[in-house]
Amino acid sequence: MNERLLDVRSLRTNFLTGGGIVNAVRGINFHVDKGEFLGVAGESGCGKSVTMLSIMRLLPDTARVQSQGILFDGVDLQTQKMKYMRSIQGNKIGMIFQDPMTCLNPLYTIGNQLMEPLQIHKKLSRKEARKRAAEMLDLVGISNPERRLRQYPHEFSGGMRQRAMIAMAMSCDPKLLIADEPTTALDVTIQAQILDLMKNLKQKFDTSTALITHDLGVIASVCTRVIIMYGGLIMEQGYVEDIFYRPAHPYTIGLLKSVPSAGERTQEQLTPIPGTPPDLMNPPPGCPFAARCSVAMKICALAQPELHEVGDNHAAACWLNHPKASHMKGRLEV
Amino acid sequence: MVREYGSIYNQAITCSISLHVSPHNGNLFLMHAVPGSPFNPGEQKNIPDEILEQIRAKYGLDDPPWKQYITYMGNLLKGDLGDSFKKINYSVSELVEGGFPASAEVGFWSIIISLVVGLPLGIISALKRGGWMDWASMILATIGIAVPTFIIAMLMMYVFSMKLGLLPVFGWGTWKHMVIPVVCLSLSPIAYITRLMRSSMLEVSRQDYIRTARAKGVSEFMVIAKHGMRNAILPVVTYLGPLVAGLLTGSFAVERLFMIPGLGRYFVTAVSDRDYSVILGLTIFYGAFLMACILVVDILYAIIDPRVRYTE
Repeated sequence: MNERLLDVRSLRTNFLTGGGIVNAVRGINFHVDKGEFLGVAGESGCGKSVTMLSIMRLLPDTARVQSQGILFDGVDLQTQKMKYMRSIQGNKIGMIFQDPMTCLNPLYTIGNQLMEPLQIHKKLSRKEARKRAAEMLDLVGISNPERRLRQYPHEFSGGMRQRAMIAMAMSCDPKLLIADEPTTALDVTIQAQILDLMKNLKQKFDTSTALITHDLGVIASVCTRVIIMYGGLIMEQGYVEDIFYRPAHPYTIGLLKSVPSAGERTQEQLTPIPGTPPDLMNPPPGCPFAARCSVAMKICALAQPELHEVGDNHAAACWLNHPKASHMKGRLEV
Repeated sequence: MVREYGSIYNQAITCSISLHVSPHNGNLFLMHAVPGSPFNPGEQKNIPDEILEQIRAKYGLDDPPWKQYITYMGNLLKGDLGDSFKKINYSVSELVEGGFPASAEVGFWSIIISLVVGLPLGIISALKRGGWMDWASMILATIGIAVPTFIIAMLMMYVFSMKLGLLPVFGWGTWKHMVIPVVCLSLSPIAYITRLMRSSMLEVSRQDYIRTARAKGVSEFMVIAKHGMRNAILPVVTYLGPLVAGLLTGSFAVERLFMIPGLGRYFVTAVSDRDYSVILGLTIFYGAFLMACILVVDILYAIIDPRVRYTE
């Protein structure tokens, strides 16, 4: 179960812009285990999408990606040529994007676009690809698939387009599915359906999934392990229960306090985190969250804390977890 | 398929016909408002007034304008564009028939050259944005828009005909006669198409569905050829309607310079001669042609972009 499918080592992604260099991802290590449902959370601009796009090599020319290895299924993707990457994209790694309204080409039928990866990677004939595409549509819960294949994206609703995107990403039976905020642009009811679908497909095909979201509720409902990102760095990572019940980083605590919960404690006040994320063109030398942190110490503004193990498979990058700060631990109480 | 496009045809054709009536109505009364007439006593000093009266009566110019209009429209419905006032023994239809083939031949090749050169240049500049190809084609495009055709024509005549002696200076007959006029006529369309294609390709390459295509492992060539170009070409298709009509019906400057027996030269000579029937006939011909081209563009648009089709 704990075999690693994807292992990313000190990934850095910079963007060269007219105004300077933006350090979007600043050296992160993480992994996706086989058969695991990983959640990557953080607010907008924290580098979660860029991380995934860096791995997939889908960033524009202005991006510079460096790492000490992006091991996928035993192969270091970092050193491979673009040709090899293309044989992985859509085949062994499927990807779903945020806005299903703009992610499908408006000029081609759903069938045409669904058949594309099958014809490229599985070398299926048109007829076979069409049959498989219809099966995939059926699998993601679109009724009357034969007729739907002949329709264009504008004839699909938002939820159906996202289902079609999922069908497309899953069609070549990938080992890893990367979902970049797949439910953000959808209605709440449709969100729940799409999450259910992803959960079911994951169980059915045992596909490892990395789900990017800024919605902790989404993570709580589907993921087994979570990575919390902020300012291009990983703040905390661990199993869902640990993160939600024993958070070890003030940022995670802040995020949890700002999520409304349905249930008995309806009178509870939501506490937003004050301030805005740091400017990644001139990232602070210390902890990126220090400026907004209510329990920040002197050292927080000076040096970036490493990820410390705080439990079994649970690590947080906060000076409060440092052995020398043990007397301050009380501050982390929720 | 037919049903899908059916209502587009209906709508476009109705639109064309109703639009068509207005320009030549305007043209007819405008021309009469201009001082002078085809048979002005001032211009033709040695003709006695009585004979001038007779000529005017022959062409119906002594009737009040509204009666002339009704007569003309009546003849038009029968397909008769009338006779030229100034070119004796020629009807307007014969002038069009005589001039159109030469104009259309030069125009046709200009359109082909504009597309064959303009589209790839635009795509390459968009893909290699900021590179030397981009700069070179943008400089070419600016020259194409800024420098008038007749100056380019003179320069080319001087270089290729006078200095190098490769091509005839003017005339009509062989393919060699067409080279310089075709190049001159295509320069400005090439410029427009290059710039249009470049900006629209840049716009399209930022779209999410291009990233989706890449994420599926589609090859770079197919990303551009299949997903990019078809979306990017739509603005160019729109520009193609008026361009085709304009080029096929002839250009005054180029046809005059190179002595091409085309339609373009009649446009101006007819106006200075106050040759009412030729002016109107050419306007109607050009108008009909333009409407037809725009109709074809509308249909092409629906073929390229399914969102434009009507399904109900």
